[in-house]
Amino acid sequence: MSDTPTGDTPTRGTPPRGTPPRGIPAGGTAPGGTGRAGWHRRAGLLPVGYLVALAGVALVHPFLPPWRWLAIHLLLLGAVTNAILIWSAHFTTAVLRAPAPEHRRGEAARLVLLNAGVAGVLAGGGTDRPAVGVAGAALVFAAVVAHLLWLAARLRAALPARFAITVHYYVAAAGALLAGVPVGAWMLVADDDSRPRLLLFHAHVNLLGWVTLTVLGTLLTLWPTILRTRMADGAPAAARRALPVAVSGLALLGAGVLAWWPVAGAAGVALVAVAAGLIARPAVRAARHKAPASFAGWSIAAAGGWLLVALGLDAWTLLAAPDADTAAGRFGVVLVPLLAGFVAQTLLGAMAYLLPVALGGGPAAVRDRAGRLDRSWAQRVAMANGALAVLVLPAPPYVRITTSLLILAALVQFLIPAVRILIAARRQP
Amino acid sequence: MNAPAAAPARPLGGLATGLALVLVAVLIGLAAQRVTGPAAGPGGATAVAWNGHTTTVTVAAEGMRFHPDTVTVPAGDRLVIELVNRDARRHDLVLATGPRSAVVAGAATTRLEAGVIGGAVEGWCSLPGHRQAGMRLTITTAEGATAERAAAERAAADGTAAGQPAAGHTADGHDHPAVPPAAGAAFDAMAAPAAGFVARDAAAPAPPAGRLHRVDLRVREVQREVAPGVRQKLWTFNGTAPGPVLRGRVGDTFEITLSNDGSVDHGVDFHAGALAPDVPMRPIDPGQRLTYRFTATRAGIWMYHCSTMPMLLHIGNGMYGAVIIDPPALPAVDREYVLVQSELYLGADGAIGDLAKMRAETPDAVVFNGYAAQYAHRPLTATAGDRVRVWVLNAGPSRTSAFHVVGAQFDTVYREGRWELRPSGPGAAQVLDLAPAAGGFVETVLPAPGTYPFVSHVMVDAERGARGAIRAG
Repeated sequence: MSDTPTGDTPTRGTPPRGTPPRGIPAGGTAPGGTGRAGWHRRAGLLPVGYLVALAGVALVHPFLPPWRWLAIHLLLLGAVTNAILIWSAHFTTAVLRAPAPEHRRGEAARLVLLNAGVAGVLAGGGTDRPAVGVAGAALVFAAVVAHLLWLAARLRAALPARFAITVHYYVAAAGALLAGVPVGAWMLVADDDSRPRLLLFHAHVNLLGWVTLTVLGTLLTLWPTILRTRMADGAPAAARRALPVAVSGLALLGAGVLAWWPVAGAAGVALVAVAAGLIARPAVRAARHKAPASFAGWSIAAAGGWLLVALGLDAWTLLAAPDADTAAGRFGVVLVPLLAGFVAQTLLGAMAYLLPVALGGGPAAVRDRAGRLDRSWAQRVAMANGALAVLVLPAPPYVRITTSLLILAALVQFLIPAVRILIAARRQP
Repeated sequence: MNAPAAAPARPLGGLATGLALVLVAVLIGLAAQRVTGPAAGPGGATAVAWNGHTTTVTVAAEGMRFHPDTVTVPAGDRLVIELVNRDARRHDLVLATGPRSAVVAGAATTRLEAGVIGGAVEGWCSLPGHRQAGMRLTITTAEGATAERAAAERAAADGTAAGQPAAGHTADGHDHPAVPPAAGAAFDAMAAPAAGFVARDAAAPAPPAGRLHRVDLRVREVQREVAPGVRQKLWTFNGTAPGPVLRGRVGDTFEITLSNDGSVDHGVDFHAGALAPDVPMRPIDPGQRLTYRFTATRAGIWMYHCSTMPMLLHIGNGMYGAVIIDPPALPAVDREYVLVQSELYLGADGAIGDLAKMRAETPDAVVFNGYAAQYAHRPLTATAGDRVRVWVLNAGPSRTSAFHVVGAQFDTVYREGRWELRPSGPGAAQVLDLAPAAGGFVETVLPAPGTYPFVSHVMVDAERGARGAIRAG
């Protein structure tokens, strides 16, 4: 997405034809951007902060009984959900060609609400205080409802726009999360025989709905921008075709795991994979035209591969399990490629591209930040994905420890420059 | 994002660096595996050089057995065991030479590097009770005769050093003496408890108001005195054996939240509710919870107990309790007590009970409410002329109870959901006989002031501590 103010990026190559005109969202703010840049500096701290906490949990996890739950929710509910709320609002404004926001009070209120809720869920779930967790989940739910209403209002107010489909993806994603959050809250309170099915529902709807739909919708424009090439012909059409496929797949999947009809669940997963494939085709064409040459590009490309791996494993898990209990127990097999391979890599890749640009400050500053976030990108991407491949294959325990340390190292290799950039941006005028 | 010209050279270098780091990590991991693995251990009796071959076998844990339970490999082979857990409960595999697998949950798999096999090696599951229940594995070398001799020697060596293979285990609760007879704690049925001893309150709780009873049951491993000077590590519901006495009326609903704070998997089975056992009675791993909801549609005193195999060990080590569902129109009485009879099969002092004794049904003690002869030393109280009702549940796990009060006759007997005697009839009863898990109550009016001993009239059990007294003032 060419959200960079016009003239900021003489070195960033010709903007892709077919991406939204550059400079739209930032147009009104001062060059160097105390308004927009300041917002993204503060907002960018949110996902980065959760990722730092995640790295901390990874280091001390032998002493934390619920570390798995905590790590999953720090990543998804903490870092990813914050990033989605922040950046989907950003992209919505951009693709709908809405005027730059005069103030961000509504957005800030949504984020405050969300993070109060996240804190409640993490505290309640981590310390086994269901009431706190449920209250937190209610706040998260409210924040997402507000976000959904805001998206819908933007859609209604907008003139026809070529990439409005992206916002439709966001609406569908938010709808999915609204189904997933209450189920998660319910599982904090009750533990009965329906738990495995509820767990599968919660995980699938949130991961394949909220996260994956958002990613697929965003990549339509973000991917060619990261590659600095033109969007492949037919990409918007593919995205429009893929959305109903993905949504019906998700509905089938949700119903399939809730009623424990594994064939329906696997068929739903297959439909989601088909939707991902529809979107991947023009994306691959664009990449063939201009190969990725950055941390963002290769991370997201690898993430796409892991998504397909995870979907394959997921369908197999559902079909091979004799009952929902077993399927829920084996879902950990799907989580490693899905969370570390797809979600975390997409998040890090997207932030590595977006943060330098959003913080503004002129082309030199942007280039400097991008360079810092891209430092030794090939080593980081190769290391993380090689280690992930070992981790997904059956490996002896000590090998799992050493390779997961490498994945942690790759995360830290992103976090250190990211934190420094955010801190340095504050010192800038 | 740098100048495109620099791009082609550096990515390849970076790619190589990244992959090299992964390779190094894998090698370090493999090396660490070797160092902590069996081959390096000097204790292994297998001072045999590796012949360069590696044998990989799959061993399934299912139904408290390893399948196969004998693995034969050529001498000098390195053995890798893929352990597949097909049970719902957790298992591991520990070898006498030192290697131990991770504890695997149900439907999961783990790998155990068994090292170079030079002779017979014994293996077992180290979770409490599982080895005694038959989860043993023997690894032999293809040279049969010598291997069997070695196995016999090893077995003899194990016998003299009870529990040696497990001595290195640190996880609490995973230790269990391998050879029981000498290990049982000393128990003197006639010893008196210390002066400060307080007997468990045997008074029956009043039925709580309301029709929905929410109860938290926490599985806890506790050290408890079970007889004068004898301490055992009991597995308990809420820290006591028996667990709390629950009470309600016909039609009441109980919502039990079971949390497992122990170190092995546990579950619970309430006889007071009729339901499909598959889900609510499933074993749960340490740290997990489950909700067990039942409606008590029928009256009686019902047993509840841990539902995890081997149940003999779980009940024998303290995981039992009583639920009283009052029969409709149960008359009020002057005194109402609850006694739960159970056996004690003592393990080493401070350790858990001894499964081998449980299997042989050779209890060290038979007790009411968890402590040998506690009411002989701290009698229950009543007043002469009082109508006294005593609820009795026989938790077993294996022995019959014959509850008798010396000097008294039971004019009321309610046994297993049925009034067998009422005061209005001409007859009376001398004993309330209860098979394991059966229960009921008796009523009597103590005729005059005095001390009325009560016993299980299975006299050997009375000698073992199944006795007490009611003092009528």
